[in-house]
Amino acid sequence: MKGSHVELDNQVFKALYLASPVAGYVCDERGYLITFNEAALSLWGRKPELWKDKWSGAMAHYYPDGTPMPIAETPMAGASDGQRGMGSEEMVIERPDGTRRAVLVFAQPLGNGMEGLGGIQVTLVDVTDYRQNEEKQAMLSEIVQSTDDAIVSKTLDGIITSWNAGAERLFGYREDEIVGKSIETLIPAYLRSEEGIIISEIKAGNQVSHYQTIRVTKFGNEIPISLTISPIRNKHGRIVGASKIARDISDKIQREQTIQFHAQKLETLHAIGKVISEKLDTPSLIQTVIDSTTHLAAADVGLCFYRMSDEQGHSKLSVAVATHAEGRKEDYAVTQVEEGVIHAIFSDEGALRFKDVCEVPHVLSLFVTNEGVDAPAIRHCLAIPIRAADELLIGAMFFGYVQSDVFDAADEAMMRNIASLVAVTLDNARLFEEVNALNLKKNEFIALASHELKTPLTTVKGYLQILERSQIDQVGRRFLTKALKQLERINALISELLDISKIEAGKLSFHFETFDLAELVLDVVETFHFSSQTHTIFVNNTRGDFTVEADRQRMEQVFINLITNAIKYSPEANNVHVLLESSPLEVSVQVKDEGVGLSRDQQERIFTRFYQVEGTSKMAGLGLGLYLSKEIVERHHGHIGVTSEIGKGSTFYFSIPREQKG
Amino acid sequence: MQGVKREVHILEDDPGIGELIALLLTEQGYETRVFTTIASFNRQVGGPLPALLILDVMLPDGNGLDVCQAWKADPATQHVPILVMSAYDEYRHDPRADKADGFIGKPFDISSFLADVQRQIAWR
Repeated sequence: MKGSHVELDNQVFKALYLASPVAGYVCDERGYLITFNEAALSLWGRKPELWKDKWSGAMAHYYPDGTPMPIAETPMAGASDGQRGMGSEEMVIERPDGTRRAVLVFAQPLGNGMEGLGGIQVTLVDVTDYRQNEEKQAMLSEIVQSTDDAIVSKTLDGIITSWNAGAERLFGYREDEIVGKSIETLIPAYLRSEEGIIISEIKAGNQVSHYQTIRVTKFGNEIPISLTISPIRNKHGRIVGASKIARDISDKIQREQTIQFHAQKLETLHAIGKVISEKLDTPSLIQTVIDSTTHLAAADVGLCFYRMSDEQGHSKLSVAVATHAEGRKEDYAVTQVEEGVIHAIFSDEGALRFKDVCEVPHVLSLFVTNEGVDAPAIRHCLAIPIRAADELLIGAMFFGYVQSDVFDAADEAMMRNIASLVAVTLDNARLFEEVNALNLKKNEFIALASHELKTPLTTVKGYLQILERSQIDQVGRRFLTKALKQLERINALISELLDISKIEAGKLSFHFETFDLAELVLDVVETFHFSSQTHTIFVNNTRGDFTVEADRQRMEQVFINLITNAIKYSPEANNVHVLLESSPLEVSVQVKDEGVGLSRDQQERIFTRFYQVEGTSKMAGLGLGLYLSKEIVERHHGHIGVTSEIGKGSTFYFSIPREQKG
Repeated sequence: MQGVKREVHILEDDPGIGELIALLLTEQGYETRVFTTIASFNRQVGGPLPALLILDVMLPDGNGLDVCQAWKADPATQHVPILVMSAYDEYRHDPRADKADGFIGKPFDISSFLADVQRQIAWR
């Protein structure tokens, strides 16, 4: 009976052993494998040969640290000679495909219960996954600890549950000080409501990313941070807390501010450049520049001294004042500053920083306010000279500060750049003034020259006319007529030059009177009937009201110019037609020739100064007649124009309002 | 008195023009006196008044328009007709020439010049 019991027991144990999910095998006393189960087979990844493989079915063995483990040193071999045994030992086995598994080895001698059978029974527990997980945890933990970012976890109630080294660095609390405390410890009072919003997001399973806010450190400093908060779920997927990564963004914010500041600077520079390129008068330009630079330099007061010529051409010291939004430009008594003071400040130096203006009376005197003005005292000053290309001091900018920290931050290099822009501007203004002065001299010269030329002309004309009246032969008379005609041309040219110089100087003056334009037209036409042997001038429609308020001499000048041109540019024709028209508001005159005509391009350019129709050199003049006519008509608020067709002729017309307003 | 009445005074700094005008007027039977400076002109003031005064504007020691204004403001002389003469046409409208009796632009046409002169003297 006993034997059959044993038999039955053996059967049961064998079945259990073979079906066990835990790898197990048996070696004889010499180490040869005598049996193993399916689990061992799959752990080894191969089928060992019974009675041939010793101690193990694995391809190779290693210590947990990866160094090779000779077979004699394996726990299995150790167990057989009784040196080790019973407990578990960890080792790593290698499979034929090269993969390794970490195993716990339980090896024990087959003992007393199994007589005649020396040897050992081995159980291998695969702990690879566990070990890997552990390694990963360690790695993660290492990452969390070594990162610069603060990583904190908390419960849904806001109780801090973990705290890394980054969090300690950022917030100042040690782990043992803060764990178990509320996250609100870190939140400034005025931002407490934030936490509720964050938690509700987390409860909804959402991540809060790159949320920029403010937190308080252990030492009470408020720091800008960027938060990323994610829900922590337990293994059942339920949200039980939140992990929070906080990054100090002070640097970032500072960088952003710096970028913004530089962008603003560039914008100001650009604006200044634009102002300078626009042809503003010097005082407005300097005012704009000092306004923007004072703002840019964050100064409380900005002064810009510069030299400028007044209308009489006298150079004098001028000043533009700019103040901070709350200040008032009128408060400063700068107009009383002597130029010597500015020269004394700079002598031959570049930009200067005055830490304390009270120690430098010269500089202090610049910021003196008018009596009774209550403005904050200027303590510091940044002084930038404005030098021309030849290093000559032509101006200076002074920026006054009340507070020292703002003064310390002032960008001197920037101001120097602007000063050099201003120098160019002032230089240009100086050149412009010089050119203007020269132009004025030129106009004065032309006026004088035309007067001087007309004086002998008067005498010559007088004597020629006296001769003409006297008893002379036909030939002599013809010559005289020609000479007088040329004399008139000289006179007309001189008059045109004089008129042009007056237009340029803005001194072409008009004397308006009321007269009948038709009468004037007829008078002029009559003189042409005497002088022109080639053309007949027909005047159409002189009936009607042609009363206008205009400058009689100038209107005559325009009309003579049009008739002269009509005759001049129609050498093959005999007729010129003049057409008068009137309306209640204006009066117009058309002069139509049957001459060479004008191309579209010529029509567009014919009223410009010095324009000469090409191929008409024999008809030359100064090219000023139509320019002057246009100027005169427009000064009468009228309009002058031309319609023309090449080979058919041209019609010049002008119209002026009956009354001159203003 | 006839002779004095037909006397024309000319204030003109250019000797050429002065001579020309004197010639033209003498031909017409007028007496002429030509002055080249305001100073020399003023030295004879107080003497017999001319029948006509012809004034150039730009003179070496002053402006003929001022002489015109002074003469026209003085009850003793304001009845003397004055012709203002210049190469600058804009003096035609100068306020100081308001009371002048005519304006002659240089260079002038001798027939219209003589017509102007005769008109001024005939009217008086």
